[in-house]
Order: sequence, then C-alpha cells, then structure tokens
Amino acid sequence: MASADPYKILEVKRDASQEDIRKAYRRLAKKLHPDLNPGNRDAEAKFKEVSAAYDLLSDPEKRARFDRGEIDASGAERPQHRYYRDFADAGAGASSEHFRRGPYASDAGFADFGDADDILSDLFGRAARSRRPRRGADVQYRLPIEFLEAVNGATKRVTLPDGSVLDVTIPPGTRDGQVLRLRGKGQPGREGAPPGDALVEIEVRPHPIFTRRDDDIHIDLPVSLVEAVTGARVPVPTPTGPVTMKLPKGANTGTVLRLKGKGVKRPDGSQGDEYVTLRVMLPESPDPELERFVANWSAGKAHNPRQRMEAG
Amino acid sequence: MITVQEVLTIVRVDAASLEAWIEAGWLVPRRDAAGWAFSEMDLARARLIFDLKHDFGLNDEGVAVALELLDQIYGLRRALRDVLSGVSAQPESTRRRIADDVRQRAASEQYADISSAPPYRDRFGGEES
Repeated sequence: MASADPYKILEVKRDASQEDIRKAYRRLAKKLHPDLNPGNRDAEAKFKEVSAAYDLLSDPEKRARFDRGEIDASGAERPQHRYYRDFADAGAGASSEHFRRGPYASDAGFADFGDADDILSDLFGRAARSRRPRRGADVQYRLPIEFLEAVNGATKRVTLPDGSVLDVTIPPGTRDGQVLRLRGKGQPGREGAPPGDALVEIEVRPHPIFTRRDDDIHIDLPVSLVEAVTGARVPVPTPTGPVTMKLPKGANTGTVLRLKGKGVKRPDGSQGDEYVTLRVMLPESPDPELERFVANWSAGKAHNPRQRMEAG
Repeated sequence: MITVQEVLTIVRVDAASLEAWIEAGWLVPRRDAAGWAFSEMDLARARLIFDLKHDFGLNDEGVAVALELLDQIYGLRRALRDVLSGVSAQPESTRRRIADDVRQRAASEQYADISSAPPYRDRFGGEES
C-alpha cells in the first residue's frame, strides 16, 4: 500500500491535469464508495486506496513533492471511520426494531409488494408503520360525463367513498379517457407531508347525433327533397345550440358542408369545425302528386346514378 | 451522544450547512435539553452527505435524490435479507422448491423481456464481478 503508485490507482497518466484527476476519482468513487455500494464487500478497502491517492494528487503542492520523490504515498490515508452502511445495513442480528431501522430506511421501494399475497402482506406492511414524513397516496376515480359537458366544459360534483364532496372542473374540449389531476385531493400525508392527488379519468358518453373526431364535430343532417332541390335555409344543431345554414341548390345525399368554428374549443382559444353530411329524405308515406310529377319528368328518366358501377 | 460541535469538527462542515441538512430532513438527530444530539448513525450519514457534495460534486437537488434512493436501497436490502433468512429457516425440501421457482421465473423473464433487460440490470447491490 505504502509503495503503491497513486497515478496507477487512479488510472491516470503522470501528466494528467487536476481536472482529469478529479474526474478519475469521481468515476472510481461512484463504484467504490461503501455507502453507495452496500453489497460490495471489497469496496471499502479499494475506496480507501483511491481516496488516499486522490488526497495526495489533488493537492498540487503534495503532488509536486511526490513527483520529485520527496515523499511517498504512505501516511496519506484518511483516518479510519465507520461508514453509514455499517449502521443502515446493521442486519438481522440487531435487537430492537428502532436500532435496525434507524430513522432513515424507506419502504418506498417495496411498499406495493404487500398487495400481492394475503399471507405475506402484513410482513411488508410492517415497514409502512415507519414514522417518516411521506406524501399521501394518489387516489383514482372514474367519472362518466355527457358528450356536451365534455365539449363545452362543466363542473361536476362527485361524492367520494368516504362521504366527502369534490367539485371537478371539466375544461372545454375534454376527451374520452383524459385524466384530470386534482392537486392535494388524494390521501392525507403522514407526519406533516403534503397530501396526494386525485386522478380522475373522464369517460365521455356517446351523443345521439354528434360524434367527435379530434376537435371537429360530425353530424348527419336529414333534409327534405324540396329543401335539397331549392337550396333552402335549414336549422342545424351544434354543441352550443342550433344555427341556420343555407343549402346549395341541388344539394345531394353525402354532400358535406362545413360550419367553421362550430367544433370543439381548443386550449389555445381556437375552435374546430362542424361537418354536416346531408341525407336527402323522401316523404315517409308515398305521395300520389309526387309520383305523377316524377313519372312525367323526362330528364329524370335518363339520369342513371349507377353509371359508374356498370362494367365498361 | 454527539454534539453539534463534534459533528462540525469531524465532518468539516459549517454550522449553517449542518442546520440546512437537518431542515431538509437529510439528517434527523434527536433534540435534548442541550440542543441537537447526534447518534453514531447520524454522524456517519453526515459524512456521507459531505462526500456526496464534495467528492461527487452533487448539488442540493442531487443530494436529495441520492439520499432518497439510498434510503430505498437500504430498506430493500433489509426486506430482502429478512425474506432470505425466513427462507433459510425452512426445511431443505421447501428451500429447494422456492429456489427452483425463483430460478424459473428469472429465466422466463429474460426471454420475455430481453430487449429491456441487459443494459440496465444489475444484481441488487451485488458484488463487483
């Protein structure tokens, strides 16, 4: 040990800069610091070597004297002391629970394992009694809302299993499956730590006439033969109430018209559009006058809407 | 019990920093009539914090993360050791059954999860190979 070369121990060249030496030390210390490597039994001895070498080479004056051969690497060791792992890792032999745990050990790495097995759960639950401050757990809820509440925004009052009441603000444009986080509405924290959050998963119920695709609203709109042929003004439902739309003359089944800005409000204030797909509808019961009129309509007889389906 | 003065001398830290470590919950010494009273464990932990800051160059956020993870590791080690000593107390046939079961799980996991397993997995606080 006394004759070991500190440059070799740190794995640096003799002309390494102070910065290189510092980096080399940090790299080795990460692997060898006994508290950071509790399962590595050799770490302590190696770490002592490495830190002694570093103490010598990180001090430019000592390093220069060593390089000139005025001093050797002995006597540079740090005074021996007990590492944190000696206490934190004090093992199963210790008598009292407090001495074993100390105030520091955390069960956060396995607190969820207790759920896995009826027989074993209270073994892991034991650690949950520790008195460290700990943030409360998040709680999860599912909240079904109506289609228009999701599109336009709403406030929903929810009664929790413990009887308390929570007002949930649904922002306009909320999507099916979206999770709203309500800060501080979860389980209370322990020992003065903050409470957890409530995570509310939104389930949007379907609407009888509207469907949503991204931020656009789609709707099928039945129109009468007369409205379609003459290009009438017709009322159209939108999420914020009916508006009047002028049909183009001769509008057909399948024609899609766009109502700009009548879709879903986006967080940036802009809005999607509503797309209206027309369905031209004949009267519900046969009408003799219409039948006579159509029978005498010569151009109509020549019109073949299946032309493109027939083989060339 | 160890006094603040002794900790300041041994760890080479100033009083304001030590106070801040306690404030942050990194150290939990007891309080008695004379002020803070540190255990051997508190002192060793103060040394560890000093090493993290000075040898590893961690800032306060880094130290907080490192301590949180270390506390979890030591908690996990204790839990694992308890489980292992519970298993060791079983008759040989039971121990063999448990060992076979664990081995099988580890093997099937490797095949199922081969893409994510190799680069990051380490034996839990294990020996250097």
